[in-house]
Amino acid sequence: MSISAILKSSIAKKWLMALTGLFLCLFLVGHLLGNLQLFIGGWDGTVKFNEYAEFMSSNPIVQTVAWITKILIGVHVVLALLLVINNRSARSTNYKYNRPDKNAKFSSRTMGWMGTLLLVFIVVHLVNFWAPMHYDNEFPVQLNEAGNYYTADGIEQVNSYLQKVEGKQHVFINKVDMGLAMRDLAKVTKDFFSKTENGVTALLMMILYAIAMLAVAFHLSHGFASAFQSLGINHKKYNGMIKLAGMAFSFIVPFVFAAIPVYLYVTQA
Amino acid sequence: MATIKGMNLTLKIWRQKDANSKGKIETYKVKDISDHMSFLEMMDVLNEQLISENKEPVAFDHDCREGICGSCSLHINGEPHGPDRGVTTCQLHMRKFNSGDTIYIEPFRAKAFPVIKDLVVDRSAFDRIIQSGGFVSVNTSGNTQDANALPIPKADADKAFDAATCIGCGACVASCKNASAMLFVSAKVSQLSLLPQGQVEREERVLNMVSQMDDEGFGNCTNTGACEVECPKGISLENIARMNREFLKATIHKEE
Ligand code: HEM
Ligand code: SF4
Ligand code: FES
Repeated sequence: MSISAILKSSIAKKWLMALTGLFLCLFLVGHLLGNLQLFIGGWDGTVKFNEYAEFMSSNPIVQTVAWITKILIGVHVVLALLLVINNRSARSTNYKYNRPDKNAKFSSRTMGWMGTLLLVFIVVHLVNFWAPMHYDNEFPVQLNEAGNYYTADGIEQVNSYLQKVEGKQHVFINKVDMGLAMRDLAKVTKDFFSKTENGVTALLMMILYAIAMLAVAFHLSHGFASAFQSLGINHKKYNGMIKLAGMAFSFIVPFVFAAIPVYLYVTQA
Repeated sequence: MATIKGMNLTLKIWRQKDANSKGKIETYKVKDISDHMSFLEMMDVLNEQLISENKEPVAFDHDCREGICGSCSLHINGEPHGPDRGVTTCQLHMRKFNSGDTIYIEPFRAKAFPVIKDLVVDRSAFDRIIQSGGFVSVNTSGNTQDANALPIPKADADKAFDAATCIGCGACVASCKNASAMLFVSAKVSQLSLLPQGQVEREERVLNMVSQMDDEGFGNCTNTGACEVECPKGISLENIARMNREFLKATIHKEE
């Protein structure tokens, strides 16, 4: 099918919507597993999380998958927009009295709204963490109690100091460049949700993140199982399993995601 | 046996002179409606009242009045074919309502179902979808073939029969927040693709019918399931999943 034929065809769009949606579900699992390390407290937790973050932002395979994820979010959003516009125009005159609650679940009727909330959140979230991590040359770097910096490979550099090379922060010992400095995403994240470091913004962000995860929960409590139906998978033997998996997924994943900012806000001064 | 009560009802009905006029909701009162009446009989009472008052009766579609032709429609109190399940408007009983109720009666709403007059909408988009692929080739040379000579697995026959009960009323479109016709089209696609007689046009059929459906201006499916709930014949969403599979197979297989 040509791209214009796909964009014109209702079912082709649904297939792509379902495939991108399920891919994004996989992405959520991966992202969540990484974030769980923020629950590890103390210096150990900081080191573990930062090493993980450096690996994720330098490994070419991970970076390729990260870009594919962004592109597929784009595809999902553009198709969603086309579908919503098309669906609105398919009913040019609305009912004066309508009871959509009588025949369809709230979550299924609000896919577009929850998706829009999600899109706003994704942009805010990228601005909060991804953009500085990738483009801010003053990003805080990991420094231990003894006053030593670390290189991005996780090695402590004794008696080291920082110096910029081509705008990037490198660790030096006796004028020898030991390599890129390890960035302290753990501290940045923890400070972001800390009352003392970020004031009332920390509270507002915790609330925004929790609301966004509620949107994920609604979006997926319909979307997960719906994607299987779109892909033509509707079979007596498996429907129960798919429904159950969708319910579990749409509850557990956003709940644990939301627990991270709440935990950081509550446990930090 | 329930006693016959005289129900007094307030009706809020969409009135529209013709396809090009702007319509609006008008309020009417009917008295002494028996709970044994069907919804359409209640409408007949209203119309007789209007005629005796020298007013234009309300136009609405109906034919068999026994739930098999798919002519009757009406969006009643926010749901196509009203609040009952598994029935058409002609089979909806007034016992589902109470004296003093206000009932909203509107035409099925979809861009592809334009209003002709009052509560009558043009559902010929469905006919054009059927014309685009809802048929099978038959051999007309020689003797008539015995349909039962072709062995068909029981499960397939059952599913085909279930799909074939669709009466083309359009309640699925009317209930869908996207005015999607997928339940109707998938019932027709399923019915024929499940049977040996339907194999000749199997791939062309799904492609042509879906493309005609899209051209008519129906919306896309969000799998909300409203259609399945409101369908008077209990057509299952399973059919939409089957159509989605058939569509993919045919798209991959076709040569141009
Ligand atoms: C991580 C983020 C996201 C995930 C995991 C996700 C997942 C899904 C899934 C699994 C579906 C069901 C597909 C189907 O019914 O076949 C879906 C549908 C949908 N998504 Fe998302 N989505 C995400 C983000 C977004 C965003 C940002 C938007 C919009 C701006 C959006 C808008 C929609 C809409 C409107 C639908 C329903 C389409 C329809 O009418 O069938 N989604 N999503
Ligand atoms: S699928 Fe059901 S609601 Fe839709 S046209 Fe057929 S009988 Fe009517
Ligand atoms: S009038 Fe024939 S189904 Fe209602």
